[in-house]
Amino acid sequence: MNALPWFLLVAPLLSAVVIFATLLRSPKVAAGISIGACAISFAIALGLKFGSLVAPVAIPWITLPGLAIEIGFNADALAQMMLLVVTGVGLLVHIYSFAYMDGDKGQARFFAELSLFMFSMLGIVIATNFIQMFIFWELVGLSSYLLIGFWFEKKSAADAAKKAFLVNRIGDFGFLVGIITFWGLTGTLFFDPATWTAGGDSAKGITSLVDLQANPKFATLIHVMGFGLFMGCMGKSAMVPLHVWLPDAMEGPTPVSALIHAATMVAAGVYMICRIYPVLAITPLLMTFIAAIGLITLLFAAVIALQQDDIKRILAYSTLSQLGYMVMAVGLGAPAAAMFHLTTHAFFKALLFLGAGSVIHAMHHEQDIWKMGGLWKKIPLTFWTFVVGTAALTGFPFLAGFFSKEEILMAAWHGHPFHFGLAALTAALTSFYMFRLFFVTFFGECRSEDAKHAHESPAAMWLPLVILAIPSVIAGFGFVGIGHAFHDFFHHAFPAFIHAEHSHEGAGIVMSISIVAFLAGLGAAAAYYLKGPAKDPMPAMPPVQNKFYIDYIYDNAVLGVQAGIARMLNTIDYWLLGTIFVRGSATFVSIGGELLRLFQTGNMQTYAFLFSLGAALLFYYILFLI
Amino acid sequence: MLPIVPTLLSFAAAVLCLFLPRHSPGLVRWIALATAAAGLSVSLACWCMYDPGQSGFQQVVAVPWVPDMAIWWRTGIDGVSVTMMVLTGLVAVAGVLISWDVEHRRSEFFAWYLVLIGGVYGVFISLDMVLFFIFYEIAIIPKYFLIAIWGGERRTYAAMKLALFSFASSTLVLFSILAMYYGSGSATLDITQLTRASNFSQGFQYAIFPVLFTGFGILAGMWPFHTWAPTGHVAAPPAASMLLAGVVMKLGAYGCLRMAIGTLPAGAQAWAPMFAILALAGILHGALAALAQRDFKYVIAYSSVSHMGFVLLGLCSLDRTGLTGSVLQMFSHGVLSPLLFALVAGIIYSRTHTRDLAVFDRFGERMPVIATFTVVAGLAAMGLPGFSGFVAELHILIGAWRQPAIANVVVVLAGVGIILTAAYTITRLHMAFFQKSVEPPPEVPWPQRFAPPHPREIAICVLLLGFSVWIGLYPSPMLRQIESGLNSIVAHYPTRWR
Repeated sequence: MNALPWFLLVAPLLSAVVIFATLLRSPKVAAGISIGACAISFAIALGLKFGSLVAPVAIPWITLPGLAIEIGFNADALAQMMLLVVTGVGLLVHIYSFAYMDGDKGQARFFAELSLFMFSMLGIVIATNFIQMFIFWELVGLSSYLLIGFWFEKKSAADAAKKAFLVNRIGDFGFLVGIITFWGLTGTLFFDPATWTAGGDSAKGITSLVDLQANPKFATLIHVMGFGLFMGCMGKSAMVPLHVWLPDAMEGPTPVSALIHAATMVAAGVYMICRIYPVLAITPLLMTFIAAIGLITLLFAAVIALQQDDIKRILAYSTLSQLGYMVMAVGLGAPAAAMFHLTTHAFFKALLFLGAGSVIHAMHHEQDIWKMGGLWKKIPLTFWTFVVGTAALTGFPFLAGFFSKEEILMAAWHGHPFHFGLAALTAALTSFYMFRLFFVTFFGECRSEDAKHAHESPAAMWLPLVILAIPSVIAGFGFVGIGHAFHDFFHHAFPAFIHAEHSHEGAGIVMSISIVAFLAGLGAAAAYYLKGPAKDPMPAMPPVQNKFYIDYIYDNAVLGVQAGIARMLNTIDYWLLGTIFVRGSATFVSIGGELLRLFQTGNMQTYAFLFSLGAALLFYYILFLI
Repeated sequence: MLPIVPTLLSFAAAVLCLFLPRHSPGLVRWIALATAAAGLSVSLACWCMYDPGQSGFQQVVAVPWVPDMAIWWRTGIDGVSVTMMVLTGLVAVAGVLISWDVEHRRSEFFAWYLVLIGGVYGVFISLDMVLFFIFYEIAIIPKYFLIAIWGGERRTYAAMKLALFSFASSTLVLFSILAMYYGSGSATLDITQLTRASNFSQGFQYAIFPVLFTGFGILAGMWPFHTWAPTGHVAAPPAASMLLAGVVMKLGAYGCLRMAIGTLPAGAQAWAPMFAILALAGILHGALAALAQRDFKYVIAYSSVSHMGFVLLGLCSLDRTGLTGSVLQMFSHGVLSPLLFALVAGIIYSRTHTRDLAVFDRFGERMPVIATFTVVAGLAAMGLPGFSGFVAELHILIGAWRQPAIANVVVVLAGVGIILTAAYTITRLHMAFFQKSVEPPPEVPWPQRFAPPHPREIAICVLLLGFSVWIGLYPSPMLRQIESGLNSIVAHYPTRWR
């Protein structure tokens, strides 16, 4: 009975294997199995949180002297909440995909890959140690690669998949370096802080993280460790400068965007740095860096979102921006606020992406918002749920996003005025670009034939929208409870590293500022876009439209340099080494051959002379020298 | 007695192949297959019978051979050698299957093939340095003929290059063996004894270790002596590429471990940091060069150099975990690179008749099953969790990290090698299967669908991939075997970190 929770992982894995192995030709059955597997995972997540299920015993994987690695099951409060988010949003996305992917020739493969993704993601959440997390971390990279490149016949999709995989791999490299350093310093690979003190290298006098921090001998290594681990987060959570893969990843089917680029995969990075928060918190320089990267990302992405025209890309940049808020919160010492925002964001961003999918479905796969317009009458259910999602994201008072964003702003308010100022400004920008998207898509005149003939999506698609919208509306205050739960968790888990009391001082001012920011953005967007103009009245800003040329620079600089090095090495191999070692020795041999040929004259007398000479020398040797 | 069987059986079958009547050409390949399969079965039996709880070599056979010169027929197995035997058996079976349709001088082909296999098995069971060297030489000669007679473009150049490098390797090894014979004082060449009580003077070890390690390192593809590998691999017929990458390169690494590191600990400790840098150079050079190739077979060939760099880095760690990872990497690369060679040079090439990635046009749609196998094999070789390469590389990096003599920067840069590996794997797979062709195909347009894989071809993929997955998911049994085999070697090296 105690093994039951393992089905959380086993069910999606089995689903993926069974579909890949036998069901690629029967899409409906495949979809059913995949949805069922996800439902089982969701049920177990519920059982862990609210029922009597407890975490099962870990399974040993590698047991060598000096290296023991297990596959464990972590079900503490943090993991429980994350499991609910992942499986809950995942289940709705599965159901939604049943309709969205209907008729696609790869539907069965899609569901197999979706199940593989769920397996990998859940593995990250329940990991008890670094190696286990890294294994599933890599598998998430793989399954997202498969899902982004699902329509691999399309060049853009195949390229986006490749980009996502490689950029993530750069982050993974840092993560691996961080893990090995961590292990070298503490002698353990477990997340549980209790083992950090027990398993440390007593010969060096390390008994806790605080000792590590105090010992100047390890100053360099703890920085390597911290920056390495955070690099893992930068790859997965798409922080600047490793952000480039996320917007491109929108080439995948829309449910994939909703699942992995809103609720789960990108959240894994934030989850990871919250899970190991103390390891990062011992390095103040790193914390400053994390906050700065978060701040840069949130502002940068919001600015780019202002001038994008593709509905999914706007949402993608808004995801980047929101992830920036979360990472900044961790850097400012408020992991609870980050996790809180992660949770609320997962729901309303999934809602927005699925809503966008419904719009795109209605528009026959048109994604340009300037070809839409007037859709509110045509697809009312999508419209109303989109209203909720937009309001929640932009911080409409007393909806989900309002509370979580306010917590992050509070963390900045205490002692970080610069961060606070820019974060509040970005809140206004967020409100502006989201309402721009919203007004242009749903209001004004229909700007294309597709828009005129749009019709509502099937129930399997709008039902998940409605279900996701409900918590964002009526359970706004309920989310505050979740925020408190996260605070309690971090207080208990890492008492030495979390500031003693969460201060509410200034809450009134912060709340007022965030409402003002929301209204400012909404007002500006309404002034420009409410009437539904035919084209963007904002002056075009080429740097913004071109995402500040970063992709361009990467493509040319990085690839050019790398290709140059590669070609140079190839040449070295081919000419230098080949010439010196091989031609050189070949020349040596052929010269030797020329010399030896002098003896092979074909002249009988010469041979006879040489033979007698040899015999004479041999006799001389035997007779006189031995 | 059992571990000797595969060697003798392979030699006997090689002779038999040559004397078969000409009018039954099909028989010879069945004989080859039966021999390879028997070798694999015996190796697996040895693997199962090997008891990791006992220390030292097992199933030892020791018969005086040339007693005056202290040369013995001395064979036996430990956890390392038995793992290598299983690897040899696997590659041998897969190699016969991929050569099923060799027409040109078939009997000779399989005769050379079996001699090569027999020599390789012999090296892995040898416990006497001279016997070791004899088998090592036996394994080298057939390579030349397999490439020179049955090879592809530039085969004579490649065969000659390979032969020259191999003889350079042999010369250094032979010199070291002779030196050790005189230097040991006890005039013995018994590897067990020399490993147990290494009594060479420190100065002798400092002098001989680099010679011996370089000698074997040449065959293991150690930078900068790796250049024989890409040309040799590419010019060779598929089965020979598989054997070269799969087991012959492992002979070099095995020699480094068994002879150099096992018997010259003081020399190893002095020189390992230097060789670690060469290993790193191999990792990075191989990966970067692979990134610049458009011939699919060259990509795999350079990736072998890169992966063997990891093997050598693990050896240089001189650490229990690192050495275990190194041997596991030998096994992992030993099954995966032959698989990739079989796919690229055999299965795909037999359909496309070109390996130029620039003319490959979205073959994922034209050969879905083969493409799937190739992508999975590529991801496995890349070190994705769930496959053997990940477990091996993890052990190597951890082992190297805790060796204080190896700078941390070396390990971090080896980690960069992992990024580069991903880069060339993903970009080349994309060129092959998911992208439109960069240049138009040579003559006729590609068919909508290529011929589906033959059951024999699927058998190759499943056999080799199966072992990689098994090790990737449940590495403990094999790690236990390897680790117990390393006990006598790591005893020389102090544990610095726990």
